[in-house]
Amino acid sequence: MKIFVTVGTTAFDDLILYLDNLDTENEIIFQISDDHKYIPVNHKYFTFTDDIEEYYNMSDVVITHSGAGSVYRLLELKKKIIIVPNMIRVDGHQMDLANFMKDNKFALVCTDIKELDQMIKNFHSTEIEEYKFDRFFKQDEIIDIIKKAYNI
Amino acid sequence: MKQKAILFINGTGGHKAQMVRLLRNLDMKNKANGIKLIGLCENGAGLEEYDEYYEVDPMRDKHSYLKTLITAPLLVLKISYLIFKLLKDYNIEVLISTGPGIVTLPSIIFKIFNKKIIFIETWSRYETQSFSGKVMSKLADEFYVQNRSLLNKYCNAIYSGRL
Repeated sequence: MKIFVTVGTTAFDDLILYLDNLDTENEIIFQISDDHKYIPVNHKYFTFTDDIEEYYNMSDVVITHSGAGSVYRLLELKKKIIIVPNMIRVDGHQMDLANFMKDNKFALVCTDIKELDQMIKNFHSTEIEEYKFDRFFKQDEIIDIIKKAYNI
Repeated sequence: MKQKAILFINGTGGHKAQMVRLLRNLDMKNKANGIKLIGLCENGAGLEEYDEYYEVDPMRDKHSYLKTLITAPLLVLKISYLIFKLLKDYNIEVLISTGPGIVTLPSIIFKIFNKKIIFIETWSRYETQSFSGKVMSKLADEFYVQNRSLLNKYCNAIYSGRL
């Protein structure tokens, strides 16, 4: 399997360290943060790309931090994903999104990195629900407020 | 007569991504042409969609509360000066923000001058309130939430669907 790992802009060394040293046949590519301390030695990595969706599309499994931008985009692309919340963030709100995705079975969620290996092995046999959401529908209301404010 | 302008405020990461999507949704150039789009953004979060933008340090350091205590007072002065200057130079009636905390100070100033404030609470919240959400639910004229579960957390929230 091809696995792509994305952590966004906040370093997530625990995750990268664990996966880089995993005894596996899988091919792994990492997107790591600029302020990382650990650099992968066993698999390919990069810090920035203009086209992350290319990596999403060519991977069988995407493992992502619980950043909303990454998670929503992946689910919009109908990718089956494993979310690993990054707990070092001082605000800790990555759990909020992760819990929602877990409770609704929109994604696999791993809160204990040690269990990630097993979750990858069970990946294809784990059932998930199709992600559905209401698209933003208040644009006309906001435009009306603007027009009224400027008398146009 | 002063040029009409809207002040947009956004941070980095998800806040920036949400603002990009909001601007695409609003389609200002076609639907409210002639109004200048001015951005006040955290460092690195300026958008090419803005006619002009100003970047400042983030209000809150994501890794350290101590750092926040030291840098915040200087930032308050800088942002206040910038906001008063913009209000002097332009006819700004509306502030629109997707967070984060950087929006609170300009909103207090806008509130004093009786301007319209529109805030969209971040899409990553379901069961908890963000700092800017807590403050902005008191200040905003329109307080939108993108997840239904937040309707129970804020008494004046309006559900908007997800950006």
